[in-house]
Amino acid sequence: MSAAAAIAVRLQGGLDAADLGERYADWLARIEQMHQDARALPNAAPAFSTLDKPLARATVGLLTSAGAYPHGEVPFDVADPHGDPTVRTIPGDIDVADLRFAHSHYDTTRAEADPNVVLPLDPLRALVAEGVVGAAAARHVGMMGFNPDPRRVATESAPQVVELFRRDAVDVVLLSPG
Amino acid sequence: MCHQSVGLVQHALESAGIATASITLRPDITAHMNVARAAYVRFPLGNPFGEGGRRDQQRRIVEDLLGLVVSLSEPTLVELPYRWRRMDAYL
Repeated sequence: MSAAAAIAVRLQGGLDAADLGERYADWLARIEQMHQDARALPNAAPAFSTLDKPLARATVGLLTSAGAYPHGEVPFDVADPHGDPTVRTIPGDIDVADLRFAHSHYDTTRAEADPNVVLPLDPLRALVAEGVVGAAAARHVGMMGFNPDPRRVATESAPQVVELFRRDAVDVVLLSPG
Repeated sequence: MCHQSVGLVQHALESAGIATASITLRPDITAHMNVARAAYVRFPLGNPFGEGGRRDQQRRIVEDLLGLVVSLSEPTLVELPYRWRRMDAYL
């Protein structure tokens, strides 16, 4: 928990590094109080890869932890107080109207009305159609971010996501929380 | 916790050679996750790409993230200038 932010932070005012440290400590104290086995699991140091081709030839995938899954698949378990670190595959050609949401820790109303607010599939497709982006990934990923003990996210979910995007030769992944 | 989950997966992708950028609504958590590239937007939880139906705004934020992937040379969290029009709905 004592790991400090080691990345450059460029905020536009109203917040500084001390505020971020204070808010993070408050958040950690709160989740430890509210949820059994809750813990922080910060990455000790950044990992940084660069894109080795033009965007116009790159394949871009999307991942959201907002609880998105395709209609007809098993929803995330929102009843388990320990969370649900499982991963859902979202077909690249899915109609956004066929996405469903299961998440107990944010209001999913707006995501249900327009899934692009958490998983911007239609905007990505437009960029591909215009040639700005080379291709959209064959598969995207849905997760449910409520995981008080995040160790299984690190040891199980993350390697699964890496494997999926690697297999599909994805160059760039854009991620969003719920 | 969503932000911590995203930060862990993002870190794994970067470690595997896949370039990433993420949206954050909680810059404190994301900064401490030491992710490669993140963009802070002052939107309510559950709306990382902006307001429903506003394809122009959603697209601009996707372009902003891709811009970070192309332009940044070191791990950085930036703030995007967009504001939520209907914040009163959350007060």
